[in-house]
Amino acid sequence: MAPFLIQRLIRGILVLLAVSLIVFVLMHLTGDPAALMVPEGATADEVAEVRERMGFDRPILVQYVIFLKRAVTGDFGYSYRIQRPAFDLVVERIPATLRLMAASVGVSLAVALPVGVIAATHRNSLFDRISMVMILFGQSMPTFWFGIMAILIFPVRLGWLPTSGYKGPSYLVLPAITLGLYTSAVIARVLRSSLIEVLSRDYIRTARAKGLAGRQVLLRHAVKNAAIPVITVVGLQIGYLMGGSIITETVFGYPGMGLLAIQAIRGQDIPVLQSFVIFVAAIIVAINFLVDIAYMYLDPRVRYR
Amino acid sequence: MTQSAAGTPSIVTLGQINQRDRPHPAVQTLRSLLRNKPAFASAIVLIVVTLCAVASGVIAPHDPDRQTLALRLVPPAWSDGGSWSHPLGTDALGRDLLSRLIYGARVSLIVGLSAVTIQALIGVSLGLIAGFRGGRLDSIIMAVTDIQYALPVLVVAIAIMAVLGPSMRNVIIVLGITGWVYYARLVRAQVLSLREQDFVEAAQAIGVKPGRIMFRHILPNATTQIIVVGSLQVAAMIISEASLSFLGLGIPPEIPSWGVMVAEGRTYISTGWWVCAFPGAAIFLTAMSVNLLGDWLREELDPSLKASGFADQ
Repeated sequence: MAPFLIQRLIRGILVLLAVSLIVFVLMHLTGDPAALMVPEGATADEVAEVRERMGFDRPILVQYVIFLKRAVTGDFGYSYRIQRPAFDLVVERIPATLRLMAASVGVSLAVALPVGVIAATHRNSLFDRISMVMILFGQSMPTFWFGIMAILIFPVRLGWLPTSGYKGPSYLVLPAITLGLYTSAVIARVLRSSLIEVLSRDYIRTARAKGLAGRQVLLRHAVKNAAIPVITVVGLQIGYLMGGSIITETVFGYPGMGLLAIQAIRGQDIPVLQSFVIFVAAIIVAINFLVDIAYMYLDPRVRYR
Repeated sequence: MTQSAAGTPSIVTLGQINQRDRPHPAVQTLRSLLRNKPAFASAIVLIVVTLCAVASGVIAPHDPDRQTLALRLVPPAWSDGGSWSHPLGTDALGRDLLSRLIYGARVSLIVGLSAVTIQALIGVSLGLIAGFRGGRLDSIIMAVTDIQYALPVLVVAIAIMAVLGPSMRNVIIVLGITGWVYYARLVRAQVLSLREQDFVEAAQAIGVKPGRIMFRHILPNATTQIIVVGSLQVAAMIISEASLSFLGLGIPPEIPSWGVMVAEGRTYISTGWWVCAFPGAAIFLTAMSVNLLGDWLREELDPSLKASGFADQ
């Protein structure tokens, strides 16, 4: 148990190191990083001052170590659109983005679990075929377009639900559905195929043979085992949700980290963008760690590996 | 089996049966495509999209960039105020939407196909090396795939595009270098199972060089799966490109592309829904056709999936 978790922890740290390296290299690819960290129209003296303060005149390896030290303490410099630490700006937006992600995972599970289970237990039925078509739709739909069309139909045409911003739970409905669309399709698809596979196993036949009710076999024996690949997929989808939340937040003007990042890019606000990328990586690593713990609970084999 | 004149069965080799009874493989594939209606419809959609991309200049009724401000936001031909000279209407600058859609097909196809080619080249090479060489090199490559898995492609792409700036070449590079992981894992797994097989051991025993074993004996056995993953990735890349372009981080606005068109149309959503609706529908339809055709291809190439009716895995 412990070795498994330690191994995952090391992997998580490696991921964060890799991301910090990417961010660091990107910063240097743009030319003079000091010039990027000062507001437009700064004097040469100001640039030189930043260069010295941030250590940009030192050897590149030393610079990376300095960068890492600063990153660990959350110091990415000041945003130069708003004169505040970039890190704080990102941190403020985290609850909003996590709320959106949680809502969309909720939507995905609420749709995908029943669809996956019914489709698998009634294979090749009309319901199964319709759900396969819906899954295909979900996987082929460009998120941003779906969001805009949802705005066109509901708030603009029908006058239901707000178009953008965030002032209460009703503002979360369309963004959560938009973001959860693809994930629902993926989860339903994996659950269906995994349940079909599990239902053909011998222990299911045994459970039925000893007279357990169909529902009991399904819930006690099949679904728990079929859940393992589903958990894996949910874990992998966290990355997608992070990327997708940038698009969804942009479409709906939802005040999360993604919208902040897009505004930062448009304003060439590199410190904010850096904090954002590092933060996203940290959140993904943390959530994946939780997924690994869920794994151990569901699959005893993992604990003794 | 055929009967000879004397009534005794004559000996027919397998090769002869193949030649006599089975049509050419291409004909078989075509027949199977005709039987599968969704896949057939997808093939037609993709042929139309490809034609649009290849012959945009011939097919498009207007110059996609010509602005006629007097004809701003003309609705599609079938609605009030529309005209057949602009079948799908015009955008906010009075440019013909249908012509822009036709030219936009180029970007989607070029970026989708090039990005997948780059991904496959990187992924297959690294997968072959990891599986075949093993040891420390394998651990390093697998650690890199782990890292890449943990990072959302879109976040990495956004960070890189923000620095490189929007251009078609940059989009292709970014999507190409972020999506190779699937191929690497797949090929590595194939190599690991294939290199234990008798035919590979036999080749090693008679002194065939490792490079030749990789490319002549192992890679051909993994091509089927590489093609299937690649075909499904084309759809994902078309959507990714459109998403980046929508965010202003992909194709620059001077080039007509479906993602940029949706972004431009978004502002006029309440006065001109068509500007945004048609390019998005084009992305959706193209991606769905690629996915459907990819699923069909998977069933076609992997006969074990055929029995189940659906590609389940």
